[in-house]
Amino acid sequence: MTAAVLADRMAALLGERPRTFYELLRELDDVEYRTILQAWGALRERRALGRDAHGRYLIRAK
Amino acid sequence: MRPSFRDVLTRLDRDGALLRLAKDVDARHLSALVVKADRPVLFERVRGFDMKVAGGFFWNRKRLAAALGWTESELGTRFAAGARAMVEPQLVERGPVQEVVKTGRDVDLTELPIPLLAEKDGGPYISAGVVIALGAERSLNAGVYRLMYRSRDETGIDLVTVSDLRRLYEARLARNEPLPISVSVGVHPIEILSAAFKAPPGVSEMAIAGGLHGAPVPLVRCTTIDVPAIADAEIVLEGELLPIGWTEDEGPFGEFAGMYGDLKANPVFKVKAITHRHDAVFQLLQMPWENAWLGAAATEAQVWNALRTAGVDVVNVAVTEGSACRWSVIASIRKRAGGGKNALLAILALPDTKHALVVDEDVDIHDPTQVEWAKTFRVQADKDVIIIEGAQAKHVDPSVRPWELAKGQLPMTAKMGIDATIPEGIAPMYYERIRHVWVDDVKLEDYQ
Repeated sequence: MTAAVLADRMAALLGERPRTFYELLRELDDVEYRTILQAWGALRERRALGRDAHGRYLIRAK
Repeated sequence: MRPSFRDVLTRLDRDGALLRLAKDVDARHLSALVVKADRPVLFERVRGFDMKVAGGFFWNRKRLAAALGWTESELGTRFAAGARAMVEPQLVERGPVQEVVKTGRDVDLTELPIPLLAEKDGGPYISAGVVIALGAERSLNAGVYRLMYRSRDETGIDLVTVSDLRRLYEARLARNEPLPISVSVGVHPIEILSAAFKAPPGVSEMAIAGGLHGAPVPLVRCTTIDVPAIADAEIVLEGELLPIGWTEDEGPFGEFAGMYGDLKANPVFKVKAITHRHDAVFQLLQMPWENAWLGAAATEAQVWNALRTAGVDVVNVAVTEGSACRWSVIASIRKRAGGGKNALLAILALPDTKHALVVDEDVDIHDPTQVEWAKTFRVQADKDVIIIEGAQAKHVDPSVRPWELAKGQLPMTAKMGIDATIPEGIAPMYYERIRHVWVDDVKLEDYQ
């Protein structure tokens, strides 16, 4: 799986509900950790990540 | 020449004090395995990464002392003596940390096995980096700061608390200029211990490290910025704190006190180069106790100094782990009349100390049962407990209710001292400990 595809999958998961990075990781047990780091970086560069009051990640409304 | 981090690994391995794990490890599990191990761990193969990982060197007093090569009881006194004998660092032409140099588009933090440490952390963290920046007249400032992974060439950095690095950053920010910094990962424990110490103004933490080593710390010029880094570190990140102020999300983070710090707005560290040894070892510092124990030697040194200044005949000093090796202190003394209370006042005068317990020299302060015994049988709460209200506190302590403070208002705390020395007017004979018969003459193995 490429980082860009995984970043889309992460965005979809965060679109469902806010999650901590750990909760996101637990959803991605099938993916190599380094690919997760790469995808997370790609997702951050899209400038779409936001946080809720508890510090969990979410996708900001456009 | 002083030993490097790698020499420490070799020594601990030779002494049987290092757990080497040769099996392929998922980087997700690094944190949990360090927590479960009974000694520091060297992960020789981490899936998807070319680097080894090591962690758990400062988990408790025993491991910290072993990593330093000191004895457990001399943490405070040896730190104080070494810190007085400063040796300035030495700039060298080249160092093993620059065996591999990656700059520009080759910079990729995902080559480092940066672990997620705690469940509510805002992301994976580089927790064992010694950050070096230059101040006025190229004075050297070093500190330990957490770096939250953001992307292949960016991390967050926690600069909320007042520090020398924050002051340097504020000065650059006012001119809309970045602050260049180096981050050395995988350095000798003395260097990370010294960097974690808040040195007095004008004193370089690396000079303190030199004093503790008895030899200068070798520094090498970075390849992309005019700042040095530790020449024989395992990995160095070179880059700049961007002049964007406190604008980007960072945290939460499971902190040294054992609780989560809040989501914060912080600056961003832009990485311009990654340099490392050919077979680099990435060090992780596991919260909370590794970070807490790093401050233990300096805190104990402060307590020794305060007690001696107050004219107290000190026998031993120990911070307690549950207080993050900072807020609670036990001291044993050779007491003169009133000496227990004087000792308490001296210890509680220190800014971070919240609770102090003073015992007589016959009590082993590293044995919780003996300390509890003294507290139970030598204390009358109405006579031997001191409470001081309205003293300086820290936001990290939830019991000061920091969320109720107005912006800019500093928290205050009540401090407590317990004098568990034999009360005046009670003869020591009443505290004579039982001794079992023939214990010096009989050997259990003779009957096995």
